[in-house]
Amino acid sequence: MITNRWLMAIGFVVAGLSTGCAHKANIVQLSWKVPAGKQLHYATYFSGELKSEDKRKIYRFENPEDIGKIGFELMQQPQLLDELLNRLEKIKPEETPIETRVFAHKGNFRALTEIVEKEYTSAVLNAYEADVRRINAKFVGNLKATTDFSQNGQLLSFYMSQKEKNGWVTFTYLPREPVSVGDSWDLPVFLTEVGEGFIPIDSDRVSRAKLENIWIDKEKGKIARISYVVSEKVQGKNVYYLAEKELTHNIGFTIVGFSDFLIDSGYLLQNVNYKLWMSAAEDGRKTEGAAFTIKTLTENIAK
Amino acid sequence: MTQTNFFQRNFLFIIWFCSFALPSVSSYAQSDYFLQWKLLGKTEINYAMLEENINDAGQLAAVDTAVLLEDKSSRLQALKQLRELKAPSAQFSLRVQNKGDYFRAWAKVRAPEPSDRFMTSGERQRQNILEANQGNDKLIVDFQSNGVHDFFFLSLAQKNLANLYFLLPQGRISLGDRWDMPQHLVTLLPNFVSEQSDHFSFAILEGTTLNTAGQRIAEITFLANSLVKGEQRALIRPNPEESIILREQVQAQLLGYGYFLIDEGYWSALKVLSISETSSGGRSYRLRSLEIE
Repeated sequence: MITNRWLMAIGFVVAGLSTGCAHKANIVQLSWKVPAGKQLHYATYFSGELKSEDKRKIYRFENPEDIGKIGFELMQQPQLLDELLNRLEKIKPEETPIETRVFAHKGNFRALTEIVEKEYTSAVLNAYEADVRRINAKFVGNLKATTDFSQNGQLLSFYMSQKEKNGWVTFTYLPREPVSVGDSWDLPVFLTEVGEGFIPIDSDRVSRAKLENIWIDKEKGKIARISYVVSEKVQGKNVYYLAEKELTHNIGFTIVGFSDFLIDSGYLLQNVNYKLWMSAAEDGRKTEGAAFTIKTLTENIAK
Repeated sequence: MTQTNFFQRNFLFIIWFCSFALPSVSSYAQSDYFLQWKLLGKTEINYAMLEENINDAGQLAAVDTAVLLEDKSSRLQALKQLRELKAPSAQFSLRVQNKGDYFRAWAKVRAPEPSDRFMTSGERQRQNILEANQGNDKLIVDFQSNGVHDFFFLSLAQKNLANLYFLLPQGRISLGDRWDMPQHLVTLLPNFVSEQSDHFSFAILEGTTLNTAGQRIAEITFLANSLVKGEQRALIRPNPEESIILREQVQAQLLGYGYFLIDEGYWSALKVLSISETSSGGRSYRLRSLEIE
């Protein structure tokens, strides 16, 4: 005779197994899969350097010295990150004549960013923009950057500068292991670089990519949204021995954005990147800036 | 309880225990050394630190670190030549301080004492530059006892130095073991399109010995090689009919040794030669060393 206790035990086992199956069904392995002979084309949209009021509309901060703290706030308050990602999704700056191509190369993948011919649909706003368009037209075919990367997006071009690597990591990098919604992993992005003569007083950084969501688009298939946040803040003294003086400096960087990755097809649909930076010296000298870049696949299926 | 009963009753536990304990015991026996920064009996140690280009590397000019990685006798021969390689006087002082739960390393420019002896114009120029920069900071880094640091804001060149001078193996090691000692030796422009590239960067526990004071020394060899072949495509191409593409091969190698005092937890000496060359004819040698003062 089966007692109540046995029924409960069987119930637990069944419930446990079904939960385990459901959990496994949500685990995805994200990897690049561009077929040999095909090329993916990504258009680049770039804001140029944003005005002070525009960047504060995207994310509110009181003074430039808070720029290096933004990532820490976003990690502590997920709703702020959600709101920011929603705002970033709605921004579409001017398209540039810069295209990134991705294709299979010697068992891995290669990305090339080049200046291409472009027919502008918008009118020229000012003389500066006219100059930029004229110069770009003159340098069509010029290679701006390139890298090789593995199936999980690890950069193989070890000879790049850190700045170059940073530019590619948020575009290519995927987790090595299978992940579920909510899982996070580190990003090898290092934004701050000080020179000799800098004596650090305080420093901190956060670096996180996270699988935010998975949904199915009828035409494109299963899509993974990956958010990423990197912030660095460094305070230190620059020592000028000849002038016999010391100046305290604060440096801050943040990049925040997201990628939409086609899980079954194995390539990126779009990559959105918002970068802010600042440097402030004790004597009042300050610089700050922000720029916004989107790379979007120009077709659903690789050529 | 009889002995038979004990084994019968605890059979599963004994199997379980052995499955963990035996491999641990055998792996401990194979892993003989645990290198850590300690500065035993000291609050700080001072080194004369050299970091300078040299004109000639003698027989080491033809060294191939990829061959040395696989061939120990060639490696030992090359290390002997490195020991004999004449070095200029050190132009930095490096102080490593024990701060309790971390170590701080601080390297500063230090001009050699003025000498009455005749100096060549090159030596005079070097002396003048060092005197003008006397006291300037070369490197500041805080690190843990295993040499790992979290100064993420250092330049790649500074990270190279910090890894070379302070990074130790992360765990127990045996003779012949090698571990990663990250070095970024080659930086190319963003428009370099690679056809072939290869890279390794290791430290190897070559052997152990006792010095004249009876201190145990770990003899460590450093080997690194970065090779890139490809095309340098011009960033600026004013005339679309005229593309500027340069075929280029860049190689940088590193060969060195360090003597680490196992029980005292610091280097007694370290010497490293870097060789960089490009197919367009550029070739340079850089020598680094640490000597206790």
